[in-house]
Amino acid sequence: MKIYISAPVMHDDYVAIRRLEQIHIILAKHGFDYFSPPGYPSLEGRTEESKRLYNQNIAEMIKSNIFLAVGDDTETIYEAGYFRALADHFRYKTGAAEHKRYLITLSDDKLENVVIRESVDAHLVGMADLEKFTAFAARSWDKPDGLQLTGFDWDDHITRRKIILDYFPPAGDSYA
Amino acid sequence: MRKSWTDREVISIRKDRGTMSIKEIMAKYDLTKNQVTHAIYNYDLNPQSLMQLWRWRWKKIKQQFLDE
Repeated sequence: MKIYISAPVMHDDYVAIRRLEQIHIILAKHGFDYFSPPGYPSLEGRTEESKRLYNQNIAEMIKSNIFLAVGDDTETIYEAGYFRALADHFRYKTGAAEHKRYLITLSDDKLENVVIRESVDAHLVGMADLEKFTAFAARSWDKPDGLQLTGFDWDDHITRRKIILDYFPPAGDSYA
Repeated sequence: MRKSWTDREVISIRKDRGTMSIKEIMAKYDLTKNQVTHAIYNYDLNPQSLMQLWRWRWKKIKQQFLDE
């Protein structure tokens, strides 16, 4: 599983950088493969550099199975929409289940925007939810490892992932 | 044994973590596994040091992208 973290931050915004570092630490602790885009140069207009960075970011997004949206700035919303379109496109392809993509949001509050709420698979409220999600996913996203609940077919990875994501519903508080 | 860290040491270890395993870092710095994981996951860098680390990470990723 690869996670694309969309959390554009100004390079002098300590609070945002600290949050990004905490996200990296939580994902790294649980052994996830993840990518954070480096941001764009603050140049006027299109440049060769900004075009190449954009193309590389898109390439990284296409390689990712999970999109983690942190914040609601224009760049994150654009990328989330792009990722949702990728997920929807492959939904109708034969054999696409193995490559299913999931869109997850992370913020300190509930999701207020209806369109965002309807498009995401799960919403994490704060770092505590991110810790819980990574702990669940680390054990059971790709294959069950010690976590067994009765009443579910744990060899069915789509169902398994849905059970994990259902702990973090987009429309309300997490169950825990 | 408990170790007292400097931001410079922790930044160096976190930079290396991008390309090295925990075991390789233990060998390079002569540290225990607990010490290495503490430096990577728990040590709280001061604001200037953390921003310095991130500027380095962003610059490195950008350079990799532009070189490809």
